[in-house]
Amino acid sequence: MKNKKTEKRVAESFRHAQPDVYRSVAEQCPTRERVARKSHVGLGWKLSTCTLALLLVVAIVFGGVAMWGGKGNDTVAVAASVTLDVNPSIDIQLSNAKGRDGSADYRVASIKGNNADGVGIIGSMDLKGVQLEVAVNALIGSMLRKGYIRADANSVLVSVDSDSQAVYDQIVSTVCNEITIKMRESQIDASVVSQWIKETDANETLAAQYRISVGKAQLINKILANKGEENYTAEQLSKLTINDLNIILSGLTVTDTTGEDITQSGSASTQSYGRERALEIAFGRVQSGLTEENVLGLKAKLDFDDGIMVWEVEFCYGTNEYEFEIGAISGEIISFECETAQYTPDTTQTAKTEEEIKTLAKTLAGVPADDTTVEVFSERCRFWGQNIVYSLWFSYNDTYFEYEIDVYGAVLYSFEQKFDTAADAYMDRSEIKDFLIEQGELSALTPVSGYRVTSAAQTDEQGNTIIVYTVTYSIGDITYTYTIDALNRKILSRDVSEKTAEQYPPFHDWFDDEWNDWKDDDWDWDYDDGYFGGHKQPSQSSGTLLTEDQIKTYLLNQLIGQFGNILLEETSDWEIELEEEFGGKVYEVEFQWNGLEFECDVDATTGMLIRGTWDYADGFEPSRPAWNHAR
Amino acid sequence: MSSKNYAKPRRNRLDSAIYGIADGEEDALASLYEMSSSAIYAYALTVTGNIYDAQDILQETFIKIYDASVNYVSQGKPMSWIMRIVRNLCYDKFRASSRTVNVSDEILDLQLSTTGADATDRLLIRSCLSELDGEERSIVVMHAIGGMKHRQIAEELGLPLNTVLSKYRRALGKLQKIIEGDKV
Repeated sequence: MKNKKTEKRVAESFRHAQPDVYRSVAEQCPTRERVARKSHVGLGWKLSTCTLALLLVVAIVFGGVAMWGGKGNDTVAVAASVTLDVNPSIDIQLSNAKGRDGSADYRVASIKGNNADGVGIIGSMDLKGVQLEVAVNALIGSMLRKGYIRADANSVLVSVDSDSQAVYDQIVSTVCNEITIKMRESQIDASVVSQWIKETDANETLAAQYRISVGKAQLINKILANKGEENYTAEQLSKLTINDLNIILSGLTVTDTTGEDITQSGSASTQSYGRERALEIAFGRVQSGLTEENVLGLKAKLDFDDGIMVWEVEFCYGTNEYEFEIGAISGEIISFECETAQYTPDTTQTAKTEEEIKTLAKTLAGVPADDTTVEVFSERCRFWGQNIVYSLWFSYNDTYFEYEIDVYGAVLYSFEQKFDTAADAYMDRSEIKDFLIEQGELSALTPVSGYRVTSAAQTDEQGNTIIVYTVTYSIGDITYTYTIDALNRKILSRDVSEKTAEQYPPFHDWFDDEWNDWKDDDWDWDYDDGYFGGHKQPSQSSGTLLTEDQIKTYLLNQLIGQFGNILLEETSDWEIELEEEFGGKVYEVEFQWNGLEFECDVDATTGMLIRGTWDYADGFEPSRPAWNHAR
Repeated sequence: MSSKNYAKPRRNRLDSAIYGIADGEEDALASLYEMSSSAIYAYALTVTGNIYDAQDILQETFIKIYDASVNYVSQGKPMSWIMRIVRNLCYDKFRASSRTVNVSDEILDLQLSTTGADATDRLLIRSCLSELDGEERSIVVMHAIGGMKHRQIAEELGLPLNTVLSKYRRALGKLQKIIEGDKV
């Protein structure tokens, strides 16, 4: 426990030195208004509607004030709300200031971005009070200018929350029309998905969980309800743009017609490649003329990799096992892996030198013989019988290659992965070393080894998509790893790891540390509160209540499956109380056994276990597992 | 007997506070400040090596968290998320000011003497900066003050777990000697 004391002392020292800046922080971070977000639209929306309507009535009665000065309108009522999702997500609360002729005049009562992109789109625009079509025009214009809407990403989701079908129809028509016109100005054919928001727990829960609009959550739930055999999850879908979701929606046969309320206009920019086309691409890569009939163990499923839809294709052909990732939108082979399942060294061949093997690897990757710029890294990775197998890796033509080739030149394994070249639009791959030198991270004179750059799309802390380079190289025994935001030319992280003997403490020390760490921090923290008994409903019968003794017996019998035979005499600290819960009479039961504390709900008339939890009893400490300290 | 709390209440206090900030809950910011400000300040101080930068970063971190909270999606490791923000702010600070990491020991001591830290506190803090290497400092702060698990720290710093454990043990050993030497 010496360590614990030291930790505590260090923590105290920093705490004593710490200034109290809370007041200043609180001034700069005022408590946000609990705005009637789409995710809390239910009663909240209705209340805010009533409140606003009441305020307006008061205003009219006492001041004869027209809400939007100079418009000559005489009645105003909050009409609905509309959410625009592209990747930016924007909520607009609408008022309907009816004209003298009774025609609708929807105007913005309030507007807010649901995500950082949405906030960025609104920027400093003051849209409060402007007509709905004007606001939509401005917002879509901003999304076009900022590149969120493009020819290859032309989908917008319009989600309308309204109590009236007529109002819903009017708003959808106005908004879709305006989006179509605005995008046509930029020679883009819009694809608009419009839907009537349903206030369901499922939508609101999903929206809250993934911090997306209720509209997007509803669209995702619609896709999940109709996904058939497809391998989608809510988490994967929540990361996709509306254009991707629109593409998926287009490919679904919608069988769930619950609350049928979704319409699509136009086509999403890019139709995804279907299974057949993905297989054609994969087979073509292996051998011309290869078909489904020629291969074994074929599997093809649509999956997501870093937020990109990909076809994962696996099959065996000849003595090789193949795995592909093919971009469902681009049709490009993102990665290709081939491993030989049967290998017999051809000892009749002459053994090659390491340099010859490197040349072979370059040839396999299509590197021209006279291209001396490609640096191939290699190491002896294993022995197959008495035969050396080399592992080789290098980058060429925006692709990372890995091979395992035996000393006779037989290829046991090959892997290729396309770099995400989106980063190059911002920062060329070849500039990275210079960039690190400029930043003082690397000396131009220091020779480095194992230099490798990969790139991938990631989501930053604000939820925006960024392109990140990961750079790794070694100087001597020290390996440096950087992540760099390609767009902002900014180093996001740097790590240095040193290969030293001390890096690997003896196993028994490691075991002790792990155990102490787990016991001190985790054992009553990570693994607390076991749950059992499911979530059954108590019977509704008004039968005779069981006695406390009967309850104890029935309960312990039901715990045998999970905890073994718990003898009544081994238990202690029983507390049993009768409650009305879950629509019936329930005994709330607590007891302790073997250092564990149980809390259970038991049907008071049948003795059925409704649900239960267990936790470690106060003061209980787990015993350390045996470890033989002999080295 | 209290009614059962079937939701997992304990693990996610930091997460709850971050979500609370986004959702406009009255006490969420105060609660997050209470739970995390020590770790943030300690980390910033050990990286920047001067109390004024650390104080700026402490404030800026909460403002960043406030802004980012609306898009926050819990990965179950809220302290790692917070530490990443602090780390990036520290790097930004270096880049903005283009200066080296530490002020001298004497100046730091002078700076610390204006805070509530007593002589022993100051010695321990200065020792953290002078006796421990960068990774050791990060590991000690993240674990001892931030409450992060060694596994999470290993992930966060991109180091093998064994390295984190051995560095941690070594760092605590050094600090222990200092404490004993000073008879704290």
